[in-house]
Amino acid sequence: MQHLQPLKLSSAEALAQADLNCDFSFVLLQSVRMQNMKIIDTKGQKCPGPIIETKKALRESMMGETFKVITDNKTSFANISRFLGDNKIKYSVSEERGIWTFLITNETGQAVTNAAGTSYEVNAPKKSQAGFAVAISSELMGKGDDDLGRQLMKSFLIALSCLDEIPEVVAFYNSGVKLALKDSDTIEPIQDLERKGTEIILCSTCVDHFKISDKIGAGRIGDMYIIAQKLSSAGNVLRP
Amino acid sequence: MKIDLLQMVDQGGCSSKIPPKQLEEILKHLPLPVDPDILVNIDTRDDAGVYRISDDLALVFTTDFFPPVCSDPYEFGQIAAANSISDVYAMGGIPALALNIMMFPSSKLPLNVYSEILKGGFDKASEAGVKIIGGHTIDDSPPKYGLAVIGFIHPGKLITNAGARPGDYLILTKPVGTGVIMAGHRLGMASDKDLNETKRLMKLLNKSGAEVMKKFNISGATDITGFGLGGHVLKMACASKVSMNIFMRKVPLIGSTWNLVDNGCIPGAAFTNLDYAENGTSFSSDLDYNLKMIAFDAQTSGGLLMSVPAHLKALVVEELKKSGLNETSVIGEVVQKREKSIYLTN
Repeated sequence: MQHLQPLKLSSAEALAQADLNCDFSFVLLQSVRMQNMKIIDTKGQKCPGPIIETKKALRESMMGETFKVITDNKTSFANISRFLGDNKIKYSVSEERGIWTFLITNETGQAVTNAAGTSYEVNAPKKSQAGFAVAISSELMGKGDDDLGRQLMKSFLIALSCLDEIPEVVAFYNSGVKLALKDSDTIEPIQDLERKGTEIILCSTCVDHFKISDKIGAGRIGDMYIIAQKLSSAGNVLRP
Repeated sequence: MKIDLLQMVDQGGCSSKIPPKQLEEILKHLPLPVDPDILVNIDTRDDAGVYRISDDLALVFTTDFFPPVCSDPYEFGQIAAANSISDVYAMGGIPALALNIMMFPSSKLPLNVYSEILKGGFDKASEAGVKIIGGHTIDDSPPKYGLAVIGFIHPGKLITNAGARPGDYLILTKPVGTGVIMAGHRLGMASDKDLNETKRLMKLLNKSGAEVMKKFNISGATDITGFGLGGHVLKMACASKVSMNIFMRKVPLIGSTWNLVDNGCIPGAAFTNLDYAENGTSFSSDLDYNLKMIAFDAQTSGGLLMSVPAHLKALVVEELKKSGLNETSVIGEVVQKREKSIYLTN
């Protein structure tokens, strides 16, 4: 990065030293910029204060703006250097008697953002590209032994909530709606799925039939039209 | 006047751990004791040493101590004790006995602070069934506290950081971000909610996590502490001679950890941990910078990271959640050894 010495316009000597091929107004402008350059003095600040100040200054700076960050802490000097390098921010740094001065230029014209953007979702597994759905027509999985069926359905729901690609929709009907009762031992994986972005729909006719509308712990109640619509637009429909 | 122990910690906690890179250099030259009864030695850089006493008994032996990580002396005692005992749980042992290790500035702090710290340690140790039967104090500033702990284990039931196998899934029992939140708190940037949640997590014993590991005969695990998630994953991958894929978006974070890091609140220890681990780590080109730094945020009394065979994954997650570890998450997978030890992606 070109180091520009601030010029005192009244000094004829300084003018003589300046590159005489430079456009005078450019030199004047750069001088004004250097004199007005924002300086962030972090001397005496506890880690990670200096990085916080640096990031703040970057966010508040304009495209092409250069500002100074000063630190008297060797660790902060190392960490700011690392931070700037990793984020590909143009800078130079000089040291004098234990004081480091960074000259940092914002070349991006916008706040330092990350590939992921500024909003962030914890534990957000991808929804399946093909958008698969699950239709759960009973609180039991399989036929032959009801206790086994109950256990299997519980394991299935837990496994579903742990998949890398979660379903778009899970629709519950007939006795399947009971799986979403607040005090059911299957409510947690269903709530887990819902938190991760799966749409949970409970058939309204079924909820009314079993008289459990005020005991539901997850999802929304929808009519058969909605269920038909969601299942028909899914890529695949699983029926455990 | 209420004492704030954090006022005594000048450098924001960064200086308390020797940078892992330097520590590695020192340990390389240490002679390795040779004894067939040493079941876990220093060369695998595990959470504790293990020594066989008889066919069915081995001792798990570990120590940890550090300067204050919070303002209140009693809470500091609780957290330091939980942190020290955690290593025994990580090895699958039952913690039993401990000694206090205390450095206390008697000219700068009143003696009741000393007893408050010890009380916190005692209460947490009692919760774990640990009897503190001695200790040692020297005068030093800032104060530092922790325990040397002995646990018992059956020699055939060790859980070590060399027990991860390709095909396993990596399950983490507590969210990360204690370093970021406490640094933010020192600068007035963290909310009370985040601070309280962080302290709660730091005080939480890894006891129930250890019980689940033992129930399912898990053989590979470690606890996440000062070297950050990335640092401890690296140690485990190296000891197990495997590689590990970590999906940062699956790692549970405490409260506003990501936002704090996005505002530049990146503790110095994260940089030193990154420095240590980066030669062994592959970073995806689109890896979120904040998540990268969070991966190396030094943790205090963090959760257990266990390597779980695929067919047990869902059951282990269920059991851990049932035991109250609500933020248990599957954060990665173990694969055959590749060029790098860790593959970090979003």
